[in-house]
Amino acid sequence: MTSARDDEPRPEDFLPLHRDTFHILVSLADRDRHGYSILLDVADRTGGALRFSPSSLYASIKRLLHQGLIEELAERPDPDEDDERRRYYRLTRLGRKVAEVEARRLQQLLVQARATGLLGRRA
Amino acid sequence: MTRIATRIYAASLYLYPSSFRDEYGPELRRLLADSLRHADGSAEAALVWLRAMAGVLLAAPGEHASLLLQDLRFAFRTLRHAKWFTLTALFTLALGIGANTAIFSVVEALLLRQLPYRDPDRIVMVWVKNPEQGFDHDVTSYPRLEDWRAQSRAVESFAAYIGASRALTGWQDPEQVHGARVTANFFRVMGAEPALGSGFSPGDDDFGRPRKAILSHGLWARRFGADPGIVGRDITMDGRLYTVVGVMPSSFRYPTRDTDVWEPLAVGAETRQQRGAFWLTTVARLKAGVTLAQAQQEMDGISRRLAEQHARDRGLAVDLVTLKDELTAATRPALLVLTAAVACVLLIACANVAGMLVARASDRGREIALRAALGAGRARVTRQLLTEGMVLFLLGGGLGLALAAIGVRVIVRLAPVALTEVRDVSVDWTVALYAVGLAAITGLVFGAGPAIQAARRDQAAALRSGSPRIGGRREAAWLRTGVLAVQVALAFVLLTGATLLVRSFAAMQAVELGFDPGRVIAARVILPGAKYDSASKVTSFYDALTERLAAMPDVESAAGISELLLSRLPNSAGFQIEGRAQDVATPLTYDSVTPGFFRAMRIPLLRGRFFTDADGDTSERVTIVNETTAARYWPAEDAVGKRIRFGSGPGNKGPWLTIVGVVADTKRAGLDVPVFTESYQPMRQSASPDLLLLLRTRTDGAASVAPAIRAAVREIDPQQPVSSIAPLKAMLDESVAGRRFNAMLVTAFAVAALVLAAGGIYGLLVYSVAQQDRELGVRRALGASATAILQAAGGRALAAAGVGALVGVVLSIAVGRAIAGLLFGIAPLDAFSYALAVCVLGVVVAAAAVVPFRRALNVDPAVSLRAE
Repeated sequence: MTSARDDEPRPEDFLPLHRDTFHILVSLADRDRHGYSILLDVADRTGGALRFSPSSLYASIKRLLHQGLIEELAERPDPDEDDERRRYYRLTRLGRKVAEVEARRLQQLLVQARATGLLGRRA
Repeated sequence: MTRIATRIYAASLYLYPSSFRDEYGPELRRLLADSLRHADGSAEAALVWLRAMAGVLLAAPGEHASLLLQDLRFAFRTLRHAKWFTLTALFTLALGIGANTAIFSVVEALLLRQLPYRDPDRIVMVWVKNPEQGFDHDVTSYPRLEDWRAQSRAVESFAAYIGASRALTGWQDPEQVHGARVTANFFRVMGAEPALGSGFSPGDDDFGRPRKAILSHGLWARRFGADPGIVGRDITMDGRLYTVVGVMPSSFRYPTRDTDVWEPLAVGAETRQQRGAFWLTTVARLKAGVTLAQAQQEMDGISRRLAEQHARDRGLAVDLVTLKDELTAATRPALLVLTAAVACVLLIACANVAGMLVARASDRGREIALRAALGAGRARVTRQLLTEGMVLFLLGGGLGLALAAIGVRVIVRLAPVALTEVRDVSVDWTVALYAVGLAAITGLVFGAGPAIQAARRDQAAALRSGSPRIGGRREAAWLRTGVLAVQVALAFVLLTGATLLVRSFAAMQAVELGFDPGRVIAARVILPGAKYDSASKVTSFYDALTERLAAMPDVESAAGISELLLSRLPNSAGFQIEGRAQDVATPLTYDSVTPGFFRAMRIPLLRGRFFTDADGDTSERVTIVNETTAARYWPAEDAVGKRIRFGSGPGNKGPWLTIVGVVADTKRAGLDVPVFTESYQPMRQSASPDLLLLLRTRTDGAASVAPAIRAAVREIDPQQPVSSIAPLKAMLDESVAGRRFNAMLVTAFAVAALVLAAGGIYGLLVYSVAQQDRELGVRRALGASATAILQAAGGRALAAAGVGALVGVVLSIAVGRAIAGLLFGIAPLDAFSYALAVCVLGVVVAAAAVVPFRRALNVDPAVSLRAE
């Protein structure tokens, strides 16, 4: 008999993550955000290097929702902004796991790069 | 400014699939509004807006693609699950699309394909209308051609030609090649240039110039091994030397497909003066910008002027026909009929599949309603069903294309040999595109209806009812009933059309030829005029040949005639009857025969005598006429003993010919052509260098005769070729091959239509019975009679079939009129054909109804009531 757990996807199945996907997951790691908040956060963290267009952001969001990495919350107003109601997104358990595994993978890559002297021997 | 920008952005969101737009549209707009609001200055705002717009343009196709992929996956899965539905629908579509594609590939090659000449629309045939002699498209004389050239402003140039058969000798066995003698400007008028060497130069057609020849690509490859050094070399034809100046490309095949060689047409001084000698076929190239009507108008004026100037031109007119029309005229009517027939088949096939889709969508009502309830919008459901339909139609189109490839091979094999262009037919990219396009269009037309209808239904009602099927079923039933009536009507039309054509073919087969072609082998010998320059040389050759062949043990009799099967423009001339003032303008055909001809062909003598060996060049000039001629000019007296003379006018110096015999009419001009007024002359008095040798063998299929004929000819003259050795029956079969071809194809399409229509009726009845099983069960329980049950189960379908048949009769009457030109010996309103069609259709409908009706009668009231 196959248990339900066997059907659940493993976090490793999603790796390596697309750059945009990873940034969105990271952005949602500390708190729930609406679309514009994600957009600002990513732009902020990348020093403006990565600016999503609304279309590419929502294409990613749609895919993440479909894959079950994020979930949609009920609409509520943004406390920092006006009182317009917005859709909020939150990492699912799976989504958090996937982001973690990806972060670890990147970290490992970094360690290896350092070991080869690619980035100098500074800690 | 911002407002306009956001509006444009909002509008651009319509590029997305509606499901995505419904879900994320407001978010996208809000996001842009936020970004614009926080933008640092108008330059950055513009940048933000541009990036957002670019994002839509880049992302929207991807959304569509992913949705399509999803729908396709789903469609394939559902189609795989419904195996019988899928197989039946695919077979039906493949049949409809395949038949259409096969016929389209023929139509494309024969009617639509551009002629391979420069500005082909400007090339026209210049025919002489000669009503007095009964020719609507006659050839012309040299002086008239010169007059046209001098007077026409609308025509850039006129070229003329006449066919010539040549014996090509040297290198290998002598070969009879098909030549054309053409004016020097012929290739310029045709807009074609040699692939190798040059064309003819002005003046090449002057009398007494050195002989030049241009080879066809086929002859060059076949006979000269495609030798690129051929230009400048000499070849021998009819014993004369010709210098090869060029080789035409393989695409150039005019005047006939099998023309092997072109040579300049040198016209002697005497012929240049003969207005009454009709022998040149004329083609012309119109000046750029001149329409056919303008040129025709001008030629009408010229004809009127010439008629005033020359007595010989009185009553003559000119008919300009574009080369394209000329070349396609013979096949166009039949191809149009075939196109209409396959269009009917396709309509029936599509209607069947549409009916199946409607039934299926209605059966899947609950599933569809459920999906709608789970959040798939109506547009989404429609899109899914449409994709399913398109997949079905496109797969059917692919299979149809494969079927067409096979069909085209069959068609090429069945086609009359004379329809040489059929050899160009192939399934190429154009044809493939046609098949796919046809599948896509029919898919949209016939697949969209059921999809929209299914999605429009009241979903909630469907879920409530608990039945797998849903409301709107009445609507679906009506649609299917209407479709059924159309199918029956179309099938009926095809059925009557096929019967009419088959009966025409049969009527033609039943026509008495007037001579016996059984066990006769024919062979063509053409003696070159340069070598056989006197009547005595020609006759001694043929005497020796027939004598030798008649002595062979296999051969019962050997004879010959200059031309047995008469063409549209046979050798013929007006004549005078001794003692009558009025010349006869209606042409009398003339052909030279060997003395044994009539006996060998078993043509009965009605009066007088046959020719004998005594009818020689020193004895009285004699002729034999056919029954039609005798009856027309000597209705009350005996034609035997009367004298006639070919030619006209008081200055006619032609010799008087005494009629010594009257023979029975023969269908030499064709089974479907009225008998001409015909005459025969003895070979010894009127030697013809052309001879169709006719050998009646003692046994069937005397294959040994062919080498014996070649050997006999070679013994007499080693340089002399023989061509076209074939059973006479095969030559005659070829003359009805066109009709057989049409009849066979239309019959095949009618059978296909019947099968499909029967499938449609069967499907509708089965469906109707299955849908009403409870109702039928209740009725049964309440004691309804078998008739009432059948009435309920299939009454409407049968009524629809009846209405369809009635409409079919009306349509058939129109169609019969339209194809009257293709019929022979049978009226378009042939009662037998209609009765037969009604009977066949009745049997088919009855056969299709048996199973569903039996099921309707066997519905168990207990079972259906329990289910209730």
